[in-house]
Amino acid sequence: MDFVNKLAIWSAQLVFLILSKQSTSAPGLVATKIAPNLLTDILNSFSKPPILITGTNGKSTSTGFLANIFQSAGQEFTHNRSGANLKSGLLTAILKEKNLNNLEQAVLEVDEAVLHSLTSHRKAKLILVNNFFRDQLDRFGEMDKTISLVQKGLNLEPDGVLIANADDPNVCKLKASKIIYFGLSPQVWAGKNNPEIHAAELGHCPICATDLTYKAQWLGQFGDFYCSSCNYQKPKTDITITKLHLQVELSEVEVHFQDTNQKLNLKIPLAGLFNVYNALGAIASAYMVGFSLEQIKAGIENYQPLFGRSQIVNYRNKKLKIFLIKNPIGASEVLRLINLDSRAKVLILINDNYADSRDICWLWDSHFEYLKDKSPIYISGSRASDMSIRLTYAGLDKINYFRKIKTALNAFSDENNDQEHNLYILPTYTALLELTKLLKLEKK
Amino acid sequence: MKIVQNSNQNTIYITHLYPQHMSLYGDRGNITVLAYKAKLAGIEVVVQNCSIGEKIDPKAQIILLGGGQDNDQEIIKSDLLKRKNELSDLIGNGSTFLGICGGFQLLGKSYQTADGKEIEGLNFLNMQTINAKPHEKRIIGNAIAESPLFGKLIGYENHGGRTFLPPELKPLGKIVQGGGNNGQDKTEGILTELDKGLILGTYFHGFLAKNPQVANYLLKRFFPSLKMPALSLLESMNQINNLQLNY
Repeated sequence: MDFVNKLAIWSAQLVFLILSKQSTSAPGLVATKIAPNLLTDILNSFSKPPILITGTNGKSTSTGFLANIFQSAGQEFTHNRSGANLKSGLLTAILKEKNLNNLEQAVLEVDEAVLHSLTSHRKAKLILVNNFFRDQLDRFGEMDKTISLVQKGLNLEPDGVLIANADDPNVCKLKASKIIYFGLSPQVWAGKNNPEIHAAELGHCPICATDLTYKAQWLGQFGDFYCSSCNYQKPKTDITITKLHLQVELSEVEVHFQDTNQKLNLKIPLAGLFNVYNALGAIASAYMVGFSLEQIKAGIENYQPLFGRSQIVNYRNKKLKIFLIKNPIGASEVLRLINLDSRAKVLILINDNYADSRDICWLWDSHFEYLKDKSPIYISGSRASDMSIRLTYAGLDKINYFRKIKTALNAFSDENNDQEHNLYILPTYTALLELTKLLKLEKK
Repeated sequence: MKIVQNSNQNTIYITHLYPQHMSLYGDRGNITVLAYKAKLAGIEVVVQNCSIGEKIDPKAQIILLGGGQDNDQEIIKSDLLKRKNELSDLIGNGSTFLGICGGFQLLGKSYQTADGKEIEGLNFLNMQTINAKPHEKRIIGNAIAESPLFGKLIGYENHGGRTFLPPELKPLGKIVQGGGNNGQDKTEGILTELDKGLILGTYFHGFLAKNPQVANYLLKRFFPSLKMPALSLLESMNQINNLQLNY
């Protein structure tokens, strides 16, 4: 390693000392200023090419599952567990590793716009693309642009593989020399069509722009889709959920592997269909990396959720369930889950800082009508007023508004006895950070 | 305000054009707001979601066309242009056309996409939208306008296109904060009262939710004696909205 890189690493370590070991971006930012190529130089120094995860929703959870499988199997690897997925965050995560010289591989969650700048310097062994939903359009402009950014970043090793969600028509548009598709068997969803899907979420053919037809549709634009005009359709899946039992706190699934005709039964320790997809993407990736079914099962089943991603925490002897919300599809799925729980009480925290997305119009595309019988709803955050307007139009007449998140949290937990109620908190990203501090929880 | 002879007695007919393609940034929320307010005032609401190839409800009184991504606007354009006469007849007979963002741009003669393609518009208004010049940024962020008719208007804008109104067309308001129609002349949106109908265009997303007085106005055109029940919480939240946010 050359002198400039060493200098950059020392500087980063200095920043860690000055700020704290918890820094998620600043040390990487400083190091990049000194040695602009440091990140790609480090990636090139690893003996194995990187494994990268990208897409709109669930990157952190998918990466968490996959890293846990790596961990359980005793691999030497680095992983950006903080969820900071821009270049400075990736570098910070790697520089935090104590045994940098012994590492063989990086397993990284990567922002859609950053993928290309990594893979143009070191091709990936495997890239997992979860989904493309509307998210942070104010940052990327428009979604079609995001998809082409990712396509541009799909630089794979000759034996590399793209792991793609077969149920998302946007993802299936991606091209690579080898693709492994994962998804839900349509039989699993038979008779359970989701009536709440908004027209705006219906897919249209990314090839010829005709409206897609669905034999069944289950989550946003996910489903058994085909295009009547150009025959674009849901591809045959290689790794498939063949049985699915969604429960309030976890999901039980059966996964079928086409090439060897094996089946794997396992419990996914997070609630909701979106987490089934997050786990399935990780399972498919781990399988293609070469882990055994036993290793995969262990890594999934003993996974500890990331902070704020379907996590349950204790606060003043109350159990709080925290779900990060940031875009319509993810939020609607969380709301659907809460709707099923007759004992649910809800606190919603909406901020509009840059990391949340400055645009809060997505509240209108999220199905807050699911909370209709959950009055009163507690709200706070810099955009609580927009939230309150949205809830009013969703038919809720009683809303408890708090100027400060701290007061909201205390009122919420004091006024609701968790013997009778299940307490849910739905923060946006920066509200989650504030909540983390309030709950005095260390991020894992 | 011109009052439209309302033959529909106690029902309001609302048509949402191309909800699948043209409802970016929660534009469907405008329908939610109108429907909610009308129901609260005891009016029955019929909402039609009108997709490509479907016939617009001939009773449609308020027609919404929201924003879409560039490629969505290309998808719907030929179907939309086929409806030119149908739509102008409806507006000529008293209907209101509400165009948000892309739906506003398409009211004009033409609209240029980010990659320079020219899309023909409905040509209801003698205005044109051109692409941002290379050194110009997308207009993104929270915005405020002052309207002679409605007072303070707030919304969220996100558009690359620059819309220019000829002198004979009146904007909806004057920009106090944000970019508005083109980032230059401080105009925002358009408000054109015809003999009977009304054309309202704006770049503001979240339009009727954040500006309930406009929703009231649109309903009162058809129900002049309408007593709009106070949405006390809503209206006061809007106050907070105006005071607290960095508008």
